[in-house]
Amino acid sequence: MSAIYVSVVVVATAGLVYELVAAAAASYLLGDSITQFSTVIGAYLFAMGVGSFLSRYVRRGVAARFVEVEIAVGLVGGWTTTVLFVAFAQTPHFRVVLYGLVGVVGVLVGLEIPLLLRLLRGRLAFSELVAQVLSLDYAGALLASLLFPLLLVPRLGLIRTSLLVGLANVAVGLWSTWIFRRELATAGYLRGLAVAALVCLGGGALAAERITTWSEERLYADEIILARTSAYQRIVLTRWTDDLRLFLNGHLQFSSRDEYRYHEALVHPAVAAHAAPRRVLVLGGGDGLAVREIVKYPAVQSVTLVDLDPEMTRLFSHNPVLIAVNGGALRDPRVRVVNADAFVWLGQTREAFDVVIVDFPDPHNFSLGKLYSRSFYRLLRARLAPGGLVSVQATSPMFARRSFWCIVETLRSAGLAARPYHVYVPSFGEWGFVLAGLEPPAAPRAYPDGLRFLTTEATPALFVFPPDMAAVPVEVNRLDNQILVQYYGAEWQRIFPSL
Amino acid sequence: MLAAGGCRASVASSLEGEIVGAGHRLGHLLREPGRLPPPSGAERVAVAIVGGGVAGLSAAWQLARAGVRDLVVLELEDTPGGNARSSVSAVTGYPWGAHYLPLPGQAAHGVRTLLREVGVIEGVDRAGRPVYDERHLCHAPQERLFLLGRWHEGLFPAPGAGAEDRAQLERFRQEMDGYRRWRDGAGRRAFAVPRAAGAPGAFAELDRVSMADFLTARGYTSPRLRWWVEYGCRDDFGSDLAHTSAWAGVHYHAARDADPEYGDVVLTWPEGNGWLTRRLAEPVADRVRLGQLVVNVEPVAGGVAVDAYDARAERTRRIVAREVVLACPVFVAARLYRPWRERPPAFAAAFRYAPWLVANLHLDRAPTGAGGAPLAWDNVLYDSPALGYVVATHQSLRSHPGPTVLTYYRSYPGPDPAATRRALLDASWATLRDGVLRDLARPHPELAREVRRLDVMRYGHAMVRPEVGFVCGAARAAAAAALSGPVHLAHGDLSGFSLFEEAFEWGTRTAARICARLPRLT
Ligand SMILES: Cc1cc2nc3c(=O)[nH]c(=O)nc-3n(C[C@H](O)[C@H](O)[C@H](O)COP(=O)(O)OP(=O)(O)OC[C@H]3O[C@@H](n4cnc5c(N)ncnc54)[C@H](O)[C@@H]3O)c2cc1C
Repeated sequence: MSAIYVSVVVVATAGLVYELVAAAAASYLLGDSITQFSTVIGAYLFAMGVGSFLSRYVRRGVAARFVEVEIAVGLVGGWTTTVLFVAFAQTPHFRVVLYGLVGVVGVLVGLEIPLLLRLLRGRLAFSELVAQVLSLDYAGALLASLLFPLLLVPRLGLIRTSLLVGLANVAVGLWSTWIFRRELATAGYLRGLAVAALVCLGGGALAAERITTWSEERLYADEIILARTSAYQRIVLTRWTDDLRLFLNGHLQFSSRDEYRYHEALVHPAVAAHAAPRRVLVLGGGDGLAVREIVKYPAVQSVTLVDLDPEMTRLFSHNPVLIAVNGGALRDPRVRVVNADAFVWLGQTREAFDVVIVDFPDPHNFSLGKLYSRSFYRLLRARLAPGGLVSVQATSPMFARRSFWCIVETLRSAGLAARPYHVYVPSFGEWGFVLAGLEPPAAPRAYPDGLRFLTTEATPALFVFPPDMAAVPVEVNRLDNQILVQYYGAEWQRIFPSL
Repeated sequence: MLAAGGCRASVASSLEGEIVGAGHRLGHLLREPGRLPPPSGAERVAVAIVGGGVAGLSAAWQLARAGVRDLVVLELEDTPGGNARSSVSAVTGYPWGAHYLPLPGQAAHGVRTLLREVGVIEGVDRAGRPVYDERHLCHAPQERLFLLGRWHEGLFPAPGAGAEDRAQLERFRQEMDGYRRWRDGAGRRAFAVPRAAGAPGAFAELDRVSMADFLTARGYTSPRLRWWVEYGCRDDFGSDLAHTSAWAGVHYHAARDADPEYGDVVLTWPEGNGWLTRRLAEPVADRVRLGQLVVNVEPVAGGVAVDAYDARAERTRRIVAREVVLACPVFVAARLYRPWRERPPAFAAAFRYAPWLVANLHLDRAPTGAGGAPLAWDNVLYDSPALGYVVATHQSLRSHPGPTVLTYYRSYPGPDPAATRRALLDASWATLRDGVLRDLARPHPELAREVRRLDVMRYGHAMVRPEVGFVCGAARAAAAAALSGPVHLAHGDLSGFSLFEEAFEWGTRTAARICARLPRLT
């Protein structure tokens, strides 16, 4: 009898762990843990009820069905987390997969106890049976809720935890083929099935490490060659043959195949339009790619790069793969790296600059939205030397048209003469920039040798906007309205509803 | 396997904090002046200002602008500012009381002048309207409400509201608009800020009913609408619907116009209105004396004696001034000013005060928890006795959020402020801490474990209560007219409700009166 009691505890513990694992994985991937936990737990408990109800339709061969249920729970429950991680990277229908799996596991777990009770009916008085089994069931739940946060997740991680618990379920199934051997006609077949399941889950547990990176790789499509979590962001670098891609917090920053288009367009119209670009400031752009373009000008005497994240500028100054991309620009003797918050730094510095290159991440949130505000541009303007010019990356005039024109209007409201332009960058699509200055910026005189994209002849065409990207009426982005973040959220949401 | 539980938040055992503010401990000495050392010395000044809150500092600021430099401000706390004081830590400045100023309307030209001088107003546009330095405007998003387990934008409890709730809200807004647009023959509003700019006596009959009865009589039954109106009363007056005069309740909604350019945005700073009081104090920084409990003010030969007990030196010093400003609450003035001590004025008992609690919580990062609208400056809780919290780092220009300070506010409305006051002042730090954390655990289950430091300030007499019959009544008018020099009374209390603009108005107006009385000094 005691062997059966041990099985009950294992089954109960495993049942609760599946629920916790699914809820934790959903919170990890989707955020908003309260919603994820309560909806997953609710769906799971309901599915268990369905399972208990369905148990009445099991008429014959209860022992065999119980063993099959154990194997099925072990397999489905065990692989749940892995499937969730992969599904998140692969399909837009993540929630369908999530609740589908929760439902299946819940139904199977709901079948377990009723079937077990029926198997044990003859062996004990009914009142004692119910008391024993249910109390062990609850004890198992307690065990699970303690093991899960204290031991399983910290030691094994989510993927291994669920595979391991799946193994335990299958083991109970296997063991049951002996315990209930008198009731089983097909013990051999069931044992074979169980052993196959054990191998499948065991292999998964051993390969869990690989699965985690693989699922992140799916998220990024290519092989990850470097992944760091700095104090400020998650930095991920991927490579596919000769294409190197940088992602910050999951957002693509550049692809080495076509970034020259982006960075030539960001830097040269401003620097080449200035009569004497001696002091250049770069805000953001810790990858050093804009700096790489700037140091091509012999007239440039100093480049100040202000980027928040020391990890970024360190990587792009020392890592050989990355130095190959930016040509070691950050180690040029004219370059000074300052790790500071751009807005705060700009408010404190007394220096003046001839050209300022502004290369911030898109205004995804209110914190970034401040870096596109009228206040920010006014501070920037105050740091311009006479004749000073500014170049601003301004998201896509195609996909985020109001956002783009809002940046243009905001620069103008800060007292700058702004001239918007756009280029095509294959990995981004149609991309927008704004050239601005205390005086209306002149046309670029001459570009340095060796550019792969820009020519002085083709430049005027960049300043022409076809009707589908032409100016639209927009409000000025101020700190107190943060209208740009609203435009941006609405526009990209339309294109990528899953964001 | 039927159980599915959550875990209870536990307080980190290392959580530090204390009760701050000396006010009520020292203030109690006023009750037994006999136990203090007798006054010595006889320093002479032209003007002595008792109290370094907004009213006292505004008076000093205005006097300094008029060229009167021979003045002292005597303040009992260790920081100036009164109910608008603040602290600063390694993380940020943060408020202990008042935390915002609505954009001043045309009538508040004194406040506009101040804002212009300190650079908050940068100039005027073509229509002559002020242009603000947007760094001082509350950054978006300004406010959100925690309701039904989620955060929602704005303060009106719209989620789950029915057609009737919305219809009543709309009708209420229209009715308030009517009061807002009302003008007398001289073009004055009925409800103005500062109050003194309004038409005297307009709608005084509203002061005879409570806001609760006002709403009921007009068929405003929607619980959501009433919550929203009461929230305004608790926030601005520290009183509930039943204990707020309808005149004050309407004033809250009808005294200001939304700015055509900026809308309903407010001015705010990490340290709240402490930023403004620091600007006010700047021109007289060397004239403000802290830790000085004024215990007696009495006319003597050659001027007015002001006796101040210095708790650190354990000495009482006498200053003889030509003019004295009592810029302290009316209930304090009634104990300081000797003629009033000896024959208590009839108006004193009509000034009743709401207690408040303010807690500042230091965190390594902004709180997480319930989803919905993102963290705003003002984060209000629907089902809570408290008002919610403001975020001190909200106005920071940093693009990466780091450690922060949350300022949690709770007013104690209700029928018996004296009893609540006693309970509040008797409560220990641990009791108050647990109350704050319990309340905040609903939107932020993790918060209790993440708080680094939790300090609390208890105000026994935070705000004068605009009770029925008080706001337009005889007692308030009598207090405002009681003194005309050489001793003057100047405190926000005299308006009948507590606002920065009112305290500023009383302070600057008194300064102007003193300048007129002391022509040789200016
Ligand atoms: C928690 C809280 C939040 C608030 N929020 C806002 C807000 O957001 N916006 C707004 O406009 N208003 C707000 N108010 C109201 C606002 O703070 C007041 O209207 C204003 O600060 C009052 O200024 P005052 O100078 O009239 O009075 P007080 O601030 O009361 O100043 C009186 C001063 O006198 C000192 N004093 C008292 N007795 C003595 C003595 N015997 N000797 C020496 N000194 C003495 C006191 O320490 C104090 O500094 C708030 C008030 C509180 C309590």
